[in-house]
Amino acid sequence: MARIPHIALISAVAFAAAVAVATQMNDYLLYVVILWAIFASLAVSFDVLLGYTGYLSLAHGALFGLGAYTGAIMTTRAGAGFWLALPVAGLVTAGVAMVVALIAFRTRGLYFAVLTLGIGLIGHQMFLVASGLTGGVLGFAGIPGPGVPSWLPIDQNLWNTCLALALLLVTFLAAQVFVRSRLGAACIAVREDMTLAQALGIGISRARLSAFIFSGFFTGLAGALFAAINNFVAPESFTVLGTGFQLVALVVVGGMGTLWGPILGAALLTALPEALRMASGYSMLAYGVLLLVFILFAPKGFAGLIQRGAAVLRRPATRKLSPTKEGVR
Amino acid sequence: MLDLFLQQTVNGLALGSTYALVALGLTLIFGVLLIPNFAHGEFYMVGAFLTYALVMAGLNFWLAMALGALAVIALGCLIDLVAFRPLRGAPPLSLMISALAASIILQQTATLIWTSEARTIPTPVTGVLRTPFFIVTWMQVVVMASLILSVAAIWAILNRTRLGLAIRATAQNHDAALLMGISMVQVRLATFAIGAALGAIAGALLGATFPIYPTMGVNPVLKAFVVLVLGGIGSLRGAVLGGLFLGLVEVMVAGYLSTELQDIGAFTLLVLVLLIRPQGFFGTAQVER
Repeated sequence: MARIPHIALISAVAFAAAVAVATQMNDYLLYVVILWAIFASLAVSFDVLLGYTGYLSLAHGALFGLGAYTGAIMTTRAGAGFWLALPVAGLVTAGVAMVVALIAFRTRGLYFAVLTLGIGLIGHQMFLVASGLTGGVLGFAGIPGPGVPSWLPIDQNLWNTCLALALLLVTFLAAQVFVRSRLGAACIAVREDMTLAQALGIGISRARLSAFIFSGFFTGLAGALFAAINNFVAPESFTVLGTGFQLVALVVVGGMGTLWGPILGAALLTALPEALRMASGYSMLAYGVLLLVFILFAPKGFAGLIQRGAAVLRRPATRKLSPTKEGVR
Repeated sequence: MLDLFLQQTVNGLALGSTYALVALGLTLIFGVLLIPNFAHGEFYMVGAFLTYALVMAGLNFWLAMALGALAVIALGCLIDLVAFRPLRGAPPLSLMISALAASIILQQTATLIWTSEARTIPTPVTGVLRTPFFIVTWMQVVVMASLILSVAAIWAILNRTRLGLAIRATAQNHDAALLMGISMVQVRLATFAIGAALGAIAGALLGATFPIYPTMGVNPVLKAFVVLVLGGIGSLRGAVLGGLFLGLVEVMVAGYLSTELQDIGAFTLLVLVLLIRPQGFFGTAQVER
């Protein structure tokens, strides 16, 4: 595993490059980049739970919505600024995520998926029912965007793009730190063999709870940013089989258990609906087919394919006798 | 007051019968093959749409339902072949994701074929039965009767045939069943066929009362998972009683509190049961496999 300073340096360079490229883009491309960056940060934080801890949560569509509505309510009714609303949305979502996790982690496997699915549905239904707060089925309009600082000579769209990319950068780095921490190692132990992990005295409850709260916090941030950039949110953006399912697809297609894989997955699956814009009915179908193909033939996703390709290319030069995972086979 | 309660009870049992029909297929597939078949709701949806298409083509409702069920059986076996059989021995997470993918693919395909517009199948039996205490439509009676017939049929298959014996053996211990020379191909096909047929029948019957549309299977399959959890996974009796109970709870919540809270009531029940009695009311706590 590469060390954190290296990763931070590479990510910062990539971020700067992305911003530089973004300055040359038209508004439509910028919007695609924003969508990609927001979904990529969602996917990265979701991967900490799905890929590293091994729990399939279907409640994250609703958690994303919670972040969005919290941000929206903060910046309109409560009159707070964007920079206050953002962390509050993250913290509120993390708090709710903690409660959800305390309930859901009493179960595992299928039961966990079904329970979080139920919670996701309750959440989505709540957005519809609590119309006094959320605007109900009509949606929540007039959310102020993140204002451009007056000393920056750029327009709103470019600023939005920078913020979305910055969120991705922060989420990615935080996730890298998390999975390398003792907690992250404990999460991997939970995924690999929970009984063994318990027997070794690893605090599995604390590990998986922190993974869930971690993903909840960044999901909330992404939600608040999503709401501010779109100026509008509606419950249909936060359904279990819409966003909740898309997150699973992004992470699986990108590569579970690698943090850069989901970023690629998000790029692929954000570009896809745009490429299929002429035939928008096919984009969800393509999501489903891609997900099925990957889980059947390449369960490690895009990242796994790339790693395998790289290993094949490297093999003749540096043949090692160390028993790596692939080497045993 | 009492009249309202009795009426709600009848409505609840009718609604619960459909949940039970959907849950029976789901619990069978999960109990025997350990496959969390999220695509079960799509068996239900395709069953409804095929029945609709055939009725519109001029067929009799019951014939259309039977033909639709046959087609869905084929679809079920195909889904097993494509999405689940290659994943034998894979972690449960892969099976779940694969099932989700299959479900989305079927939904979207149906949307492309039939569009997302809601339709209704003309009701094959009309009229109501009036008693001094409550009113029940003949269609509701048909649904409840179908549940009883289905349960009887499954019971007979499972307990009175060699195939049923093989299915039960597989449910008890997959590896031991394999060692005894039971053909897994047969068991898989039979289980998926029965499950798919039940789903399709439920879809056709419901389609004659409620509107049908491509995502109509989502809610019932989730309710069926709630029923599974309520009744205990793999328990047929649990599926029936759990389904009826869920129907009652929903109708009571809708009748006495608010219709908007109906679904929230169902899923809150799910959360409560998982917290208090995770093995369900009729399941037995079992050691990890």
